[in-house]
Amino acid sequence: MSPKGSARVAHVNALDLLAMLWRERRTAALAGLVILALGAALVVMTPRSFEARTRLLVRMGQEYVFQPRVGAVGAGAMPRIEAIINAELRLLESPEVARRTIARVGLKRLYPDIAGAGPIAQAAAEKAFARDFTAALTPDTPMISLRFAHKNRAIAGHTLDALVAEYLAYRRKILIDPSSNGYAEQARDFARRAEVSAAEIRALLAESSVADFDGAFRSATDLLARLDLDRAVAAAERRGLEARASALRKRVAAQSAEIELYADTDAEKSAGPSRRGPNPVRQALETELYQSEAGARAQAARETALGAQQFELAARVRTLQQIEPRYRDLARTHMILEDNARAFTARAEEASAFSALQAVETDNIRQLEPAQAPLPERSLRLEIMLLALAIFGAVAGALIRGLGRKSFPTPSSAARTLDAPVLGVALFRRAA
Amino acid sequence: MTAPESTLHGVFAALDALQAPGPRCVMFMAASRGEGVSTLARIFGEQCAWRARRAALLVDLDLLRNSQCQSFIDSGVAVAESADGRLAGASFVKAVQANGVDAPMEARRLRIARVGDQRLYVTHFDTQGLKVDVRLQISNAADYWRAARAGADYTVVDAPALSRSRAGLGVAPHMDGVVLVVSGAAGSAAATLGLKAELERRGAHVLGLVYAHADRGVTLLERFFQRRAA
Repeated sequence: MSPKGSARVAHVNALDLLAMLWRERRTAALAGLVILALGAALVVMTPRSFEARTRLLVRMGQEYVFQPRVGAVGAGAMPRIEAIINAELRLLESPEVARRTIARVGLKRLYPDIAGAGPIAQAAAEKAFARDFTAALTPDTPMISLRFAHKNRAIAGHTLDALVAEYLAYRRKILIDPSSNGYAEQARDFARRAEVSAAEIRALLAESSVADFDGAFRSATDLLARLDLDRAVAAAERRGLEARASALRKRVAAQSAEIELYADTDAEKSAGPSRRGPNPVRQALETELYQSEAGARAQAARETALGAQQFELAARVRTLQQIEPRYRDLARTHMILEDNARAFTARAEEASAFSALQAVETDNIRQLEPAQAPLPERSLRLEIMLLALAIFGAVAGALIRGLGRKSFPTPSSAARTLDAPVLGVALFRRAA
Repeated sequence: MTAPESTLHGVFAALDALQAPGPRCVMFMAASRGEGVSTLARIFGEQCAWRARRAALLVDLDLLRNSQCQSFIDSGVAVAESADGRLAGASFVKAVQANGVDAPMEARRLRIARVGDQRLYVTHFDTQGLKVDVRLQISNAADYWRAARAGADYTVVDAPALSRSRAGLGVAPHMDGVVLVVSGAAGSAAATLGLKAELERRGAHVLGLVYAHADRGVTLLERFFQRRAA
């Protein structure tokens, strides 16, 4: 700015500003009053709402403790309480909880203005609910503070209580019930599959006309071994008998059929030609031979019968051997399934007992007090802010007007601006 | 009507501080109307009358209104029978015809009158019967003011505001000093700066300023701060 240009403007210092404020006190008062009046009107016209409050105390609960479905590795591990509180917060803010709460309190009762909005009413109500409801952590304490604002004080409290109830029901559903259902379902599934595998085994055995695979297999192989032995014994006996018969046959051939009969006495010897008769030795040998031959034949017949039996049994063993891998496989699967079914049935029983307990006492979430909207306190914060704003407005208004006058707020400012001494100050007053 | 509540010691001090001793001519002037120039000039004139050994002369440049004389009459002060206002045959008023040629003017028009029993004389101008085609003009000549100094210790000139008339500008160079009258009225800063520049351009000596219409609160505030600073 050129010196000449700056000379066109009154030089103003802090004192001048104070003087300006004093001179423009009417403007200041007017500006302040206008701001106060507008603020008061705003406060009066703003729809009043009541904020119901309640608190939830969150403690470590069973549902957060890790219970492995299978086995016991890692059992008992639990998250930190902060994580739990955060999880509970998310649950509280879930749209599903809001939906259920709105349904419980009644859309018409809760948001009569929105209820008539037709198809979008539900969505609009949920949006409004999300706006009116706040869930917040309380620092350093395992607590969640809940607030719900509503024009009607009673509805505000009632809605917040309803929300807590719905939330507790919803979290039971989310956290507790599914696991017990799962156990029972798993147990049922295992039992069903065990049943199927048992039927398969039965069908397989029926195919081979076996009632008990292991017994049948064992007895068949045992029998086969004994038959082998019996047949070998029979063959040995037959060969022995045949050898004896052959020896006897030679001896029989060596004996003549008839021999001179001997007189016991001389008289008999002198009596005529000597008498001839069958050879008794030969007869005895022949008898023995016949017996041996018959024995050998009998052994041969036995041998044949045993061989037939052996063939038949070997075929059976082969059949059993063929189905054995499949049978073993099925049997193993069946055993595992049965074991699991048993284990899960036990778990399911345990879990259902546990959730039955949980259902009656949600011990780890406690509502500290019934929701209630306090009567609005006379907080002076708003008033103080309004007052500060009014003062600011008053000062600003006075200064804007004072500076806008482009005049000399004080004699000294005139002297500085005009570069001339103050020779006198005249206090003019209206004469009576 | 307003009544001042102040002293103008500063103006006397400034006049006394001037180098050459002798009678003083001082003019009060403002940039805009309503600053209270006439009131201040009247008060100062009265104070001058108290101080003067011979006389004090209050010259009213506002020829059409004669407000100075009228205000003495209005406040019940007896104003003596007026006499010829010319001093040593010189007048600060002249009549000019439409063609720019000076017109003759009757001697009786510029009058001078004594105020009560004070040593204060006030001028007034009789406009009755003035021809329509004649224009009154304040003379730039120095002879009237020379004569005034010869007869009076103090000559106080009440000049109309610059926004109304430039009459004061022509007279200002003949004065020992010009007192600017300012106030906190809107827009006064720029106008007064303009007036001061104009006066100085014409060779007038600006003595200083008188702050009129001062607010008592502001004055106290300023005095408080000045005392703190001292």
